[in-house]
Amino acid sequence: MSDNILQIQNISKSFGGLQATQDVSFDVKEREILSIIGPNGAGKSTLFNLITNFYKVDSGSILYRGENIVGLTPDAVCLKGITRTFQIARPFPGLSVSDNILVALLAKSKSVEEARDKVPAILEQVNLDKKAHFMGGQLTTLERKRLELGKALATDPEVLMLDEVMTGLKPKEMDEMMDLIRELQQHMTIVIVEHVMRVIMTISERVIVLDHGRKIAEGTPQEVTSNPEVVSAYLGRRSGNAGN
Amino acid sequence: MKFSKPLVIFIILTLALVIAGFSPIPVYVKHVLILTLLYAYMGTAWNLMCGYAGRLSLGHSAFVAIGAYTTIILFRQITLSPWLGMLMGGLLAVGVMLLIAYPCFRFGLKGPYFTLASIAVMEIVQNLLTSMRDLTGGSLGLSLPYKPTSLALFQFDGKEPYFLIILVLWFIAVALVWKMERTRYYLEAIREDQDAAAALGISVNKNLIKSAVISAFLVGIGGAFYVQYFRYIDPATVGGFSIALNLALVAIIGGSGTILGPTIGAVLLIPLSEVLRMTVGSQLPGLHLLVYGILLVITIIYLPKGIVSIPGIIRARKIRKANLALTGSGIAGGSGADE
Ligand SMILES: Nc1ncnc2c1ncn2[C@@H]1O[C@H](COP(=O)(O)OP(=O)(O)OP(=O)(O)O)[C@@H](O)[C@H]1O
Ligand SMILES: [Mg+2]
Repeated sequence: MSDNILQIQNISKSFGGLQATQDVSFDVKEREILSIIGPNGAGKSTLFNLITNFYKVDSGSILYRGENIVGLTPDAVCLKGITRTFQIARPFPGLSVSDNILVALLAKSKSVEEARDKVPAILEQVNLDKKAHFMGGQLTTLERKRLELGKALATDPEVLMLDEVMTGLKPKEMDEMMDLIRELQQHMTIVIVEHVMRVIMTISERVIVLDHGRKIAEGTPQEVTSNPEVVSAYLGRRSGNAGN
Repeated sequence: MKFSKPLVIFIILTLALVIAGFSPIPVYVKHVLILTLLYAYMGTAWNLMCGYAGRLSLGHSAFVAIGAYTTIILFRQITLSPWLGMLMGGLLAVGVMLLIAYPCFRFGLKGPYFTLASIAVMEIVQNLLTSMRDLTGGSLGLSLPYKPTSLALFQFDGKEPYFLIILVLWFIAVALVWKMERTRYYLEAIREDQDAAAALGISVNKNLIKSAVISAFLVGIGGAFYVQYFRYIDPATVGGFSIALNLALVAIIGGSGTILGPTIGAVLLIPLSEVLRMTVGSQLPGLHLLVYGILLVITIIYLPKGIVSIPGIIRARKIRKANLALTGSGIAGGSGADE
């Protein structure tokens, strides 16, 4: 176990005839930034859904600090310390931005008051303080992404799993987001699904490559991008991005 | 700060009701007051599951009927005190609710499907009550054997004791919902997006079941009050669509998913329907339903969060204006400066 906070062991998942995850294994080390990449439909989001038990694995086990968390409910997984964001941000549309954050704080707060006190700091962290009174449903796509991150942070996770938080950001906003993620790394382990190669090359310590539900490579960003199998997986599909 | 204003309204409302109930107003007005409080009370209970958690039930009269029939049957058969009958009625309502709610929530039934299921349950309960003739008197219903005023037997000759009892019940229900602040937030999150709520560590099933259980218990107790007060019930009246619809309407028009919404809705709708019944009821018997319908449409279009949202809408408008004045130039400048 030692410094592995998460151990994914031979997990598989199929939807009808489609094998979305196929015998995938890897470890996540404490306080690292691990990126998961792969072409569209490779099974990255499915992997997140499996780890957080939104989907049930067909086989295999997922150890969090040595304990198998397969079969827990998604809320129990969050309470243990693993929080994920959704690729398409899911704000609570009818609640204000600050209530969105408040709700996320509640599960780990002793009282509503205690949670309420922490709201402003998180709003500031994700740069939404000026939108506090807006309804979640009124935000722009980018603001939704920031709220999604804010909600995840509010649960005070040990493992933060980010599903494409960078997509659609401008270069400058990406830099800010990367700074924030590095800052978060001081307190938590980060697993990040991303398409933007610049981000992956810059912040990840290790990269795992998925293709058709299988893990096809694992290593440092440099090792992975020079791996011929990875290049061919991307070629013709996302060659533009992989070359960046 | 945020909670002081509704609290003040709540206290004023309570005091006003107490004064009204004990002032020398005509008996009929007292009756309307009791009816209003009964719907405010049951609407508050309905609102917990259906407003906050967004699981819209149009069959809650099933639980009114269960509470009412349990109380009266236990009294007629074994002279059990209606107070105990009330408790039994509440518990039985919870039992039936669990039987329905557990599978519904477990398999993610929501939206119109949940509503249809709730209507089906109401029909089943009503049919069962009609067919169990030996126990329930069938469609002819049951009447409460008269006893002279007795607190122990929950029977009084005047209106005041009934008024006081339903006032206390209403107060307890509102105070309870008020105290459940954390649960209210959880239920709202679940209503808005249950997967997103689960991702934040909120137990969807546990909280939904909790709201359903409390809702059924309180409404069951309301049914017991109903039978003690009206002294006569039949399956169609107590277990039919009319009460179920009234519960939903007072909450939705007043403001579903708010603490005082159902009370405000009841204060507006119940006297209104009584006045309509009194004045033009003989010529146009269904008029109050038509008025309800119109009010409902107006509310849904202009005040989707009900009458209680009016002050909030005004406040939000002010804040938005202030924000626009503050950041109007910032938005225009911000996107350009990025590149
Ligand atoms: N709930 C589901 N039911 C059926 N098929 C699914 C489900 N979820 C995912 N899939 C399928 O599994 C495969 C992997 O999907 P997934 O969303 O994990 O891909 P991804 O790597 O996240 O892709 P993207 O980069 O587009 O986000 C896809 O073929 C997808 O259609
Ligand atoms: Mg995805």
